Amino acid sequence: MGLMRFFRKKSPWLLHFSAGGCNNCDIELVAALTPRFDVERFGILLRNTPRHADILVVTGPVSRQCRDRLLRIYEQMPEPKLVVGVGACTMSNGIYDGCYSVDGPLDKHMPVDVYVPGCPPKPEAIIDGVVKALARL
Amino acid sequence: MTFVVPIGPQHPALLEPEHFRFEVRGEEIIDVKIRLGYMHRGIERGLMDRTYYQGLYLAERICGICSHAHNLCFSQTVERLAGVEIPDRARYIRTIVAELERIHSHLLWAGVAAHEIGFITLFMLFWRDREHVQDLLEMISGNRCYYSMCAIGGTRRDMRPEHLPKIDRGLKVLEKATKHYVSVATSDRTILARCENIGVLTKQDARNFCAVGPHARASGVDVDMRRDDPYAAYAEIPFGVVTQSEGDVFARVVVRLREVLEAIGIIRHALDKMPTGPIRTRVRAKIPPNEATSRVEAPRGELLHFGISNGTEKPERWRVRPPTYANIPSLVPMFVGGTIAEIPIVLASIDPCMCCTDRVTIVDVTTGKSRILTMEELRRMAR
Amino acid sequence: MKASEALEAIENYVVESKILDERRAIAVTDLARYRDALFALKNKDVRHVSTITGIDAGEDIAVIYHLHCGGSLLNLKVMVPKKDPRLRTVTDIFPGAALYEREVMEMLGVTFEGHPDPSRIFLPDDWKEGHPLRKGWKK
Repeated sequence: MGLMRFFRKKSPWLLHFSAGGCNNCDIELVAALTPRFDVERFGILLRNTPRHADILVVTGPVSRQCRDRLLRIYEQMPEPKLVVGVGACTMSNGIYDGCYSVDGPLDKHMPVDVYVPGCPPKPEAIIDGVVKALARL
Repeated sequence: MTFVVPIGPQHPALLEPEHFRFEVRGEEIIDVKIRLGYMHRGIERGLMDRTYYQGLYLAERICGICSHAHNLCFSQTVERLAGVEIPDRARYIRTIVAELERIHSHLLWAGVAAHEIGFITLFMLFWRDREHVQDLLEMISGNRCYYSMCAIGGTRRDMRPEHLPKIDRGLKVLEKATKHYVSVATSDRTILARCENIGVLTKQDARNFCAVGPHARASGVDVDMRRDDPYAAYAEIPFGVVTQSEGDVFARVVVRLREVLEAIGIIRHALDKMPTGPIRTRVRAKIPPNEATSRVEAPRGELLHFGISNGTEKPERWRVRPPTYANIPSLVPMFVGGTIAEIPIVLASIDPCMCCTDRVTIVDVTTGKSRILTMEELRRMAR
Repeated sequence: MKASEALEAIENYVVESKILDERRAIAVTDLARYRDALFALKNKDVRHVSTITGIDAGEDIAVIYHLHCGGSLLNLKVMVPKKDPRLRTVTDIFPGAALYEREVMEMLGVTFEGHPDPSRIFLPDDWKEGHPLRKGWKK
């Protein structure tokens, strides 16, 4: 079991889901993959299916239309899994608080391990958030 | 019988959910139905419930990529409502930030489009060079994104003399890189094979479906708000409007890359002719009853804000029509007659600022079967 | 086209009009003549509807067509009674208006008769809470 934990920590696979935000957090997350930040050198990869993911990274204020899909994806992920909420919207609906079509914060719908504040947070902050989440694996 | 494939989010590049329902005969697309709303946050209502000063920050966050365009258009509309002229220096600073945003947006798009055709290295290279623009924007405004450079009545911050040499260096790097990308795009066989004659939108269809921006210009429609309905400092700065006539994905690539080069020229001219003076005029919080419209050429096309004031600090009504919304109807003639495998790149070629669908529904009219495919499956089919 | 030229093209079909500046004009028309005004503009090679705005104006709903007339913007307003909020679609004149009409339908409850696809566009599938842009609407 110790070995499994070691492998998971050394090569976490992320699943990204945009829950109806403005897309800036998504762009900063993708920017973390690009050469200046190059998150892949830490073994972090973005994957496309929930079945292979260790960490679910969510952005956006959980719009009503996205909510069911988000929950379904969370349920499809195998244990152990972590959830990282990126951006102010996941924490408090951010600037959209009060708008009729948003249904955040994220921990209303699922347990969240780490929140990365910012609007949007810089790629360095997102990487830091993911690393802090790994400490909980 | 209906097949449903478990849905999973795609690669983050390009991820805003929309839903398209394609009717197909075999591999050929014969009709498309559009359903939006996954990103819908109720912002028009939100802007009516906030003061103009609060609304400025909400309006900016309508879209992450063209945030300055919304910021600018909103400020301009409020300034028109209040009947206020902003200082000249502010107009020039707004222009410079707008063009820097255009460069960042087009490079972002180019990377995403490269990813859609499987050219991951090119995606990484575009986004590596895009970091130069992010650095300049962070230097000028304090943030990589959401620069909030427009205040109502002018700009929030001034540009300083020490910025100029750094901007100059950054622009030289970007100009050299973009010229290289133009030559790669126009000569690389893979790119040409995946982009030429794909997703064609004729000039007639572009006009009938009210397409805007580089998407329309790639089909030969000569329209650009910076020249036709000038705002900020554009009436005083000479620049070229880039058009192509083929209307295919390749034309859209060329238009955007050439616009980056034009943008670099505009920034240089604006820096050279930048007036001195104040950067902000005072605008009262309560605005007398009036109505005003402002249009801005955002990176994706014509952005429109329409506001009605009623004597209070909050608007009576605010209408926002972002450019991608205007380009969605023109997707139908672009898709029809094409194949399923072309869907990702055709969708990406309009530069959708609502993320591209995380799934599409394909309905085969001959068999009556429908299936839902994820974008990843479509991309695999396309490679 | 200057704003004044756009107004000249539709002068027989409007109740009132005003030039705001060189590139901005507003005009008010009625249910009987708004389509004639739009046809008149199309004859002057106006093809582009920038958007359509719906506003709750108390007893009526104002439907404003924002028309791009070669650099100028014309806001053409038609009032629709709230008791019977119906008018004919303009998608036969301007196909690009389709999505804007759908939006006004769901946000304000106006019906555009003859619209080719009057389905939901932005509000969630399970939305039953009325029309969000009507005055006095509460979450």
